[in-house]
Amino acid sequence: MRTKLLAWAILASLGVGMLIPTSSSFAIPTNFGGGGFINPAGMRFEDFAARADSWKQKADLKAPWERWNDSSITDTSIEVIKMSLDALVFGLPADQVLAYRKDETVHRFVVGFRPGKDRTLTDLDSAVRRNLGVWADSGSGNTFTKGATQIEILPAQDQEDLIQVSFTPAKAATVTAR
Amino acid sequence: MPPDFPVPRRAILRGFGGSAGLLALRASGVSPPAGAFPIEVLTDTALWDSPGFVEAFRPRRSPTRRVHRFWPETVPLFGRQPHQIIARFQGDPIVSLTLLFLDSGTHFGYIPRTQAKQTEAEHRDSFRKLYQETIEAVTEGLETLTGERGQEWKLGSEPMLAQTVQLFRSGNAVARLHAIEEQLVKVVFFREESLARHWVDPEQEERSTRERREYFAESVREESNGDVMIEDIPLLPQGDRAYCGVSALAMGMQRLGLNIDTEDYAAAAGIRYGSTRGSHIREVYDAAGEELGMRMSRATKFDADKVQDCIREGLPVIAWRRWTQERDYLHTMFARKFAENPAATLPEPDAADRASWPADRAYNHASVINGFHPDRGEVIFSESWTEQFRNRRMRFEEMEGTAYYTFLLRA
Repeated sequence: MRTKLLAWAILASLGVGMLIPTSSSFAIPTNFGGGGFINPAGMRFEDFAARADSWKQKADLKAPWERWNDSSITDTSIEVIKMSLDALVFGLPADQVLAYRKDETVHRFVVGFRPGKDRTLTDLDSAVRRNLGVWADSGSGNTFTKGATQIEILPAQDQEDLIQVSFTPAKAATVTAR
Repeated sequence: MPPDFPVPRRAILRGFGGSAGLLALRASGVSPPAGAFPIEVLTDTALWDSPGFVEAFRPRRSPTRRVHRFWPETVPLFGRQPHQIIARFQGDPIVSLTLLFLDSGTHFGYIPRTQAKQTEAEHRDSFRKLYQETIEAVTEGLETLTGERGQEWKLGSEPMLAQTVQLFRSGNAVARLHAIEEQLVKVVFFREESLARHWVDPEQEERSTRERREYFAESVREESNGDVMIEDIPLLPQGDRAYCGVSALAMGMQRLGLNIDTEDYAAAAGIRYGSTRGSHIREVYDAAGEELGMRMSRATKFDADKVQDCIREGLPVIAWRRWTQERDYLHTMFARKFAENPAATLPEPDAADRASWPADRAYNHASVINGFHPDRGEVIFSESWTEQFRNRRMRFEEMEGTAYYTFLLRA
């Protein structure tokens, strides 16, 4: 019971909402289990990535990660890892969250979003920009800042139906990437 | 340093099966540790004012005078483990203490409608047994505590909200035992017998219609930034329960002096086995209005003018609306941003923004509208989650586009 209450308290404090699918006429919400990254981390992924501590050497990455192959990375000293949990980022389900590390220091997170069946890529792009813009301290266009972090919406390249958002240490941040 | 809250040995032994270490703490003048609930408070309301006791409840601070605070641990009382121990404050004093022993929604958590039948079929017998064991243990515990048998009392006038409860004289407190089969077992301790005998604040009962209007309107304040707000709406967390509709109702109505709790409304509405399937929440809204001598109207179209009129009269409005995680994120983040920068503005309700509003297939949710800003064109609303979700903002257009019922009170 205590574990359940604690989990609820964390989720509630993070604004993980209340609901019920409503194909039937009236259904009244309850708490909605956020799951994923929030549970072990106690914070949203984007808030985690905006902290200066997340860019420090041997930073605790708060969740299980697994090795990942990114064919675009030719530098063998860079380790690519993929989060093994689901994550909602900017209120949207992320398709994948990758971290790029060197010497046990993350120098970049990349979050990918895919539109799925029910929305277009353009619509998804608007949603990401809208919610990122409200979350961020400042920024416009493709580049934003929050806390110790610069966030950039990357131009779509080879992969279609994919929007990628990159998190890197902000230039003014006290911790810099290697 | 304020005097410590006394925890006599008898209380410790009865409440916790003999945690003698607390005695040493008391002797040393240290407040009882979180979790050690001093059962003496159930028979002596003077102890409710003890700083050590008051400060143990969480959250410690609240922007409202009316506030429900929670004992930080679950502890066995009367041989059972209550879900929660809740202190209801009205200003500084605690006006009542609730031991929530069994609540169907808390026991089962949220159960989707598609799983409601199966959940009930699988758990009906065991839950009935649990209910029976709980009510027997709690009744016996109360009888032992008070040395008397309960006096039956009819609470409430509206049939949906009427309950037959048991009243006990518990030292200088009055204990009210609520027992609703397959739904609810709780005991509420009051300082004042008059409070125990009515859902409605006794002072409220005595006011004329005109005096009530004046009283409600006194709760409205106009902030320097132009916000028009109803003060003092308690935040009642629904937790992991299908209770947003009834929690929102309890929040709004408690502000007006109708002291029915979320769990009572849930039981009245028939939110059973964790599901709203087959429940009668709208009817409970009507009954709550009637219980307070008012009329609860329900509109299918959100009317910003009418909502503003209600707020100016001190009457909270409840909106049942479509909800998505994506849009909720925006509201959450905007509230965070607005707190830092009052010049921040919500996105313009252009075509792109409207496309992101929750549509018919979204989830349903209930929110309490407790204010507005006429020039910014925003409703100010609060959720039955935590204090963090008080006074969020949404443009009139979005509420109009996503609310499917708006409940407005009329005197």
